[in-house]
Amino acid sequence: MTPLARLHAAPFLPDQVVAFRGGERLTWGRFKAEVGGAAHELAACRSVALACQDSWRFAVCLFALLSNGASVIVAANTQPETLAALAGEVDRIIDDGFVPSLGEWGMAPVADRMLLQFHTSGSTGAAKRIGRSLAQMDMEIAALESLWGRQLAGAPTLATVPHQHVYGLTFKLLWPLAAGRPFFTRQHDLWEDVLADLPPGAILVTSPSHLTRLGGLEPVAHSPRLVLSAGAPLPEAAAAAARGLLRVPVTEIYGSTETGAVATRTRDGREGAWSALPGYGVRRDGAGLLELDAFGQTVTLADRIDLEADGRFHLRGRADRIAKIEGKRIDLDDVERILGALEGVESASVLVLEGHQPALAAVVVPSDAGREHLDRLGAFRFSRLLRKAAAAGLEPAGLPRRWRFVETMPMATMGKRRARDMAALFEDAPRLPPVSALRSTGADDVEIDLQLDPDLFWFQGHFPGHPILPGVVQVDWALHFARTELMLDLPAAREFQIKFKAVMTAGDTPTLILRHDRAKGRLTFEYRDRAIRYSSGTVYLS
Amino acid sequence: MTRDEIFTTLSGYLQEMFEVPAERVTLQAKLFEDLDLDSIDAVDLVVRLQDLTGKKISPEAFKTVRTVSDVVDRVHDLLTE
Repeated sequence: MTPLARLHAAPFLPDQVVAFRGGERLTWGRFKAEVGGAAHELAACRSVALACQDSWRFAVCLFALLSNGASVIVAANTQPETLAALAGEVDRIIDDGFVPSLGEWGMAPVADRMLLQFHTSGSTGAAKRIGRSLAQMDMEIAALESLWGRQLAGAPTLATVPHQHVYGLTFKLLWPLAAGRPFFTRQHDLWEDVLADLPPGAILVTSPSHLTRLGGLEPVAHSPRLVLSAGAPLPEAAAAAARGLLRVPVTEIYGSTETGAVATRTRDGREGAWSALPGYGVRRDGAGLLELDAFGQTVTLADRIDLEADGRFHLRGRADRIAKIEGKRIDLDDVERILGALEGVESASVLVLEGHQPALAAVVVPSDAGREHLDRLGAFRFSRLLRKAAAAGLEPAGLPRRWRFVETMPMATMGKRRARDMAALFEDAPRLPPVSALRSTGADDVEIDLQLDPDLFWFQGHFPGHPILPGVVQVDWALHFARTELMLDLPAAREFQIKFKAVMTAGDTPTLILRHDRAKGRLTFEYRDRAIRYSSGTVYLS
Repeated sequence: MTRDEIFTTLSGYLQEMFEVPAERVTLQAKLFEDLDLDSIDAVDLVVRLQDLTGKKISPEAFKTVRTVSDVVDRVHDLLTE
C-alpha cells in the first residue's frame, strides 16, 4: 500500500487500471498525467470548491490541488444553491466540465495541513464544516488496510454513496487509490444498475438508504467480498434482507466526519458490539460518551456508549438526543425505540419542536396493521391510540404531543435523518386571512375587504356541505389585523363579546371594520357587506 | 361571553388543536369517550382556556369535567366570578 502523501511516487505500473468509466479502463499512467496537467492549470488557485460528480475527475483535481498546497472544500452536493453559497469564499468551483490537459506530476501532496474541508450532514442541527489533513486520512486508511487489506487485494469498488461525504471519499476513492484497487467513476443510484455492474468479488460501499430498499430484487450470482454500510444504524430486517440478496453479511462502519471510520461490526444475525479499528482506543468518559484515542490524539464524540469487558462497545444514542420537556430529561432515542416497538408502527422518528414551549413530535411510518387503523380511525384517533399504548413505557412528558404519518421516513444521503426535514413536516401552510383590499380610514381605524373562497382552510369540515366561517375565526382575524394594522400589542388573555346576525359562507365578500377606541380601552369590529351585517363584537383591551 | 360564544370558541379550539370534526362537537359530547381526547390533551386544552379567560385554571377544577358542556360551564363560571 502507498500512503496518499506519496501517491505521486506510487510503484504502480502505468497500465494498471485505476478506474472504470462505462466500458473504459482508466489507467495509472493517465491518472498521473491528468493530475500533473491539472496542477499546472490550477496553480493560481489557493482555495477551490470541488463539485465533480465523476469520482475520477474528483480524485484528479483533489490530488492536483493538494500538490499545490491549495485548500479543497468538498461541496456537500452539486445543487445550485450549495454552489452559490460557496462561490463567495473560493477562487474557483470545479465541476465535471473541467477537463485537464496532461502533464508531469512531480510534487508530493501537502499532507500535514488541514486542507480538506468537509460538511457534516447535520443529523441533529445545522451542518458544520470540518477540516482534515491527508496525513489523518492516511492513518485511517492504514488501519483499514491492516484489518481487510489481505482479503481485498485487487477487488473493484462500487458505491451507492457520494464521494462528497467522508465515508464515500475514504471507502470508494482514497483507500482504493492507496491500495491500488480499481473503482467505478460513477455513483450507482439504482439497485438495478448496481447488480448489473457488480463484478465478482467486488467491494460494495452503500448505506441504509439503499439497504432498506431491496424489495423485488433477485439474489446476486457472485457475492461481493465486502458489503459496507455507514451513515445511520441498519435495521435488522434490512441486514437480514441484504444477507439473503448479496449472500454476505453487511459490515457496518461507525464513525463521524471529524474522525473518519472508528469501529466496525458484522451483521451476521444479531446486532452485536462494535470493535474499534486496529490501533484505535475507545473509552467511556465520565458523561458516558465515547472517548477515542487515535493517531496520538484524544477526541470525545457525541455518542453515548457502554463498554464490554473485551473492549468492544455498544452505541447508546447521541448525547444531543436528550431533550428537556416540561422540566424532565427525555431521551429521544428511548422514545423512538418504544414507539418503534408498538404494533401499529413500522418506524418512528422523534424530534423537539421549538414553540413558545418545546413540544415532542413524532413522525411515524405505520406498519400494515397500523395503516389499517389509520385509514379507519383517521390520523388524530390513531395518534391517540399510539399515545395510549406508548404510555405504558413512557412518562407523560415523553409522550409526543404532535404526530405525522408518512409513507416513508424523510431521509438525506446515506439514510440519515435530518432534524430540519422532520420539522418541516410540522410546518403549517401559512393561514392568513384572504384580503382583497385594505383601507386605512384613520390612525385608529381600518377597513379590510375579504374574499371568502370555497377552498378556504377554515371552511374545511365546518360544516361538510355547509361552509360557515366559525365565530372563533372571526375574532382571531379581528385580533390579527388589530396587531398588524393598528399596531396594538394584544396580550393572550383578553375578554371579548361577539354578536352573530348572519352567517358568513363561501363566496361572501365581507368587509371587516376595525376601530380602536382609546378612550374606552377597547377594540370594536364589524363584519358587513353593504346592507348585510354579519357580526359585530368588542375586545376589551385593559 | 355568553355560553353560546364560549361553545363556539371551544368548538374552534377542539377543531384546530385536536382535529375533531365540527359536527362531532356537541354540548353532550364526552371529551374522552366521544372525542378521543386523552389526559395530555386535557392539559393542553386547559392551557389554551387559561389564555382565553386570563385566569388560572387548576387541574383539580378540571378533573370532574366529562363533556363539552362541563367545559363551557367551567369557563363561564370563571368569567363571571
